[in-house]
Amino acid sequence: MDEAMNIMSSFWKQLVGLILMVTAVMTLSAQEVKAEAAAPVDQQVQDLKRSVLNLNRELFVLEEELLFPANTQLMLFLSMDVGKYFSLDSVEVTLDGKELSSYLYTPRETDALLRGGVQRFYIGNLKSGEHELVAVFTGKGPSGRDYRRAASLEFDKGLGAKFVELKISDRDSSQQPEFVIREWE
Amino acid sequence: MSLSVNKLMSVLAVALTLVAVHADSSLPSVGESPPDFALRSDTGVNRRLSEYRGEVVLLNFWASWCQSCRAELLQLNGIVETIGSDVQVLSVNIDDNRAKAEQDLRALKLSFPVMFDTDQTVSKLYELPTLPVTLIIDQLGQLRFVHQGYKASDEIVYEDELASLLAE
Repeated sequence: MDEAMNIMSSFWKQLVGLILMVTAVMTLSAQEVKAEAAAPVDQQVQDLKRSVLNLNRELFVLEEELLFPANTQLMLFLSMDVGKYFSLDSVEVTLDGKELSSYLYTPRETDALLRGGVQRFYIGNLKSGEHELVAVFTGKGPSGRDYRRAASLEFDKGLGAKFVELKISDRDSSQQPEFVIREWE
Repeated sequence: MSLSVNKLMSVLAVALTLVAVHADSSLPSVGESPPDFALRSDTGVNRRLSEYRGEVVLLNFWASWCQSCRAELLQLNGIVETIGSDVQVLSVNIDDNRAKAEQDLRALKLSFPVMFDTDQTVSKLYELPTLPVTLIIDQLGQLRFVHQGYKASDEIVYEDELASLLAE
């Protein structure tokens, strides 16, 4: 009788052990299947995002080419060098006496300019011929005083895009900021 | 006679609905990014809305002649004290006279930055239908809640909405 009881007990132990093992194996395999299924979906989402970004960039380029054809294009850039004698607040640009664009700078933006960043200030179309560009720079000058200076450039717009740079730099000899507008060749 | 009165009432109801729809549609839509702008502020620092992306922003438009705006600003001070630096409260004053706004600010003692839209470029950009207007923007820079006007205890709703965005 005891022997029969021992055999039964051993049988139940083995059965429970087997069930636990099967459950563990099934859980593990289910997790593996899930991981395998999830990886391609993640990859697909990433690929899709990349495609959307590429498409967006191509559309942006195409839009600019359509809106601002190379023959009539005018682009203004703004750069800043050192900035010891001038803290930039805003820039207003007029073309042939008409307001073209203006921009108010935050500390983060001026910091980016001081670290070598170049801002695309304006893009638009301009007909061929003689033009006058005037830029008014406001900010804090030496000793933290309010500072307002203008610079101008007369240029001839021919065929092809015209690139113009508004450049703010320090002139150590006079301890004053210097504002220059120049054409990019 | 009663028929024509009914007709008139119907026309009036439709007209009022259209006006209401038009008033609602003038502000930026919920779910979209509100237009970016930069303005001078009371601290002397220029501020740009897009630079606060990544933070929950409460953007409030007000004017010194608007009594409910002043009541709301004081409650916004309370929100800043309660929630702290987790939320960026920004306010835009649309008075054309900055000196008048600054005089009010001295009395109100606000604990958040105030920007001055003296030439009303931003208020036109946002097509403000009324004052005050409070916009709540999420960390992704999308407009999530819009409030026009102010009544007592609205700040409780603001706090709940801000808390829900912070929990996302």
